[in-house]
Amino acid sequence: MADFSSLVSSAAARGAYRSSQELAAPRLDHPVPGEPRTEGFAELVKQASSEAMATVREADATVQAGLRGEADTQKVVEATLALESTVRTAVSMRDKFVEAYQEILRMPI
Amino acid sequence: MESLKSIISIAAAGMRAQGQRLKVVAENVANAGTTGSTPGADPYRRKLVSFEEMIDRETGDSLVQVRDVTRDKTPFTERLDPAHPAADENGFVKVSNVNPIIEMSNMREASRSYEANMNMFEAGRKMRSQIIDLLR
Repeated sequence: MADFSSLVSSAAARGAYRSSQELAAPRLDHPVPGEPRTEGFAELVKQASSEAMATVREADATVQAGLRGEADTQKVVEATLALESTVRTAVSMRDKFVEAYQEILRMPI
Repeated sequence: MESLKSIISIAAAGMRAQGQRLKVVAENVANAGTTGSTPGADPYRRKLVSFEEMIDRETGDSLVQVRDVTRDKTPFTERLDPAHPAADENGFVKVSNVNPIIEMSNMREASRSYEANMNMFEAGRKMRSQIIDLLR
């Protein structure tokens, strides 16, 4: 039975690995000054999730004010519905992320 | 997405405005029989609501709000009731200028308008949740 290392030399494998790293997309963490800042997917998700958190906190505060009798019923309903749609979006996004992650895990190597 | 969010806030503003209008109608109906307590004193004067456009500074949407609540200037009617504490020297009592029929139609209009805004709200909400469901 032929040894695996005899088929592919380890040096060639290392070289291929190095060149594949260079093929990867340029990192967005340190944008070149002067160039317009590109919005990466991670940035987009971060922004959306911080907005979602703000909506959830606001809704929470409004509902508590409503229970204390300081906010009118309509405001409480509005805040609750905003909370509902935000949570639904967040849950859908999470499901998508988990699905994508599992897809990567199942990828044959 | 933003426009669907706007629909909800615009409809909510409309509902709030119609609610305030209905509140004023309720005040009018409740005070329809209110008279003065001293001879020749004025009774309850009917309240009127006017609306105005309110531009949302953040989004530029045209919302609605109550501009102000004014008093109806139509003259009071008089009723002969010499025993009343508010009767003048001829025995006439000034009666409030609230017309129950006008109040009733106003009430109907406010509640229908509220309903229209509610339907708008529901449509916006439904569209929004449908677009979110597309993610699944």
